[in-house]
Amino acid sequence: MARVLLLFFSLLSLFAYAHSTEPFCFFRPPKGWQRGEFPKSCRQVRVLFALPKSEGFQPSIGLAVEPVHVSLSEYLKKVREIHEKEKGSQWRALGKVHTAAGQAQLTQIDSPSEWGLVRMLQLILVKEEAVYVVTAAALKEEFSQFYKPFQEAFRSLTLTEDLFQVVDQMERRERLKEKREGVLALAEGGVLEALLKKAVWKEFAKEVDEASSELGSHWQFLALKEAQEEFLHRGGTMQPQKL
Amino acid sequence: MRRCILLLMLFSFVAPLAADGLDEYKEDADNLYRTGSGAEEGAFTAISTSMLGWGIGLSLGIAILASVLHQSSSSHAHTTTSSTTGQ
Repeated sequence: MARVLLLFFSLLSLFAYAHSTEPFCFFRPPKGWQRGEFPKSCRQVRVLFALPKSEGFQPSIGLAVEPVHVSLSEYLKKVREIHEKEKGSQWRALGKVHTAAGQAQLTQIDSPSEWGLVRMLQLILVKEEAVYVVTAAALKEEFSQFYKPFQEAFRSLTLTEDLFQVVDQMERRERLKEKREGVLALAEGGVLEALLKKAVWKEFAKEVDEASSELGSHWQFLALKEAQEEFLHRGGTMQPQKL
Repeated sequence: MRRCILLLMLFSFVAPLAADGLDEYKEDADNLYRTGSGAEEGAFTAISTSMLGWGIGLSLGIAILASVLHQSSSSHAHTTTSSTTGQ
């Protein structure tokens, strides 16, 4: 009996220390849109892409990820309460959208600003104790120009544990893995600053760039960032160590 | 000896669960006030992106103007000095 209890508790101890990792989430932003800055206080925002403009309101599309323990309908109720508290804002549910990550809910918010009435579309996907919110925004009077690229971005919303698994061609997938391993082989004692100037990194970045013609610049950003983070995780450092 | 090991294993199991329990409580408490924050931050970011752009543009504009004014006042002072001293 004691042995059984001993085995039982030792197994449970292992489970108590188990950790889960967040899957990669990306969408395909409109072509030519650049990654933009956003307030650091918005800790749930992962990325933002904006149309470069010298003046006026800048159309943008961004992704936020929030851990939740509620259903989609409960989340929508909360979101409606939040948006309707803003003076002059109008919120409404538009219906379901089928994305690569699953079925999501589309909502619309019209909100006044210094530039005029801003229209935002928020795509909300709840999956495995997390909510993924893609927010597309433009001036209401200009919104029709961006409706199609916004719809394409929404439909492309993807969740994956492996960034290379979503690459269609097997040969390209294999080349990407090979180039990535070539980069990571330099991790032990390597310096990230120096790595980025080496041919091995440039070859990997070139391969990622070619794949991004199909998957978009958000996927490209994630693939490069993941390789750099893994390089640091496997023993690389940001800058040369002072002796 | 077996009892000691059993107690140790029991403690190692309970301690992280207790910590997880507290974390879960905190998360639940946070969620009462923060559910929807992802959507809220997404909307806030969309509006503030343009404001950030304007802010940076305005700062640059002021810096350039200040630099031009400073250069202009320096050259004017030089001209005035030479006109009073060079007769």
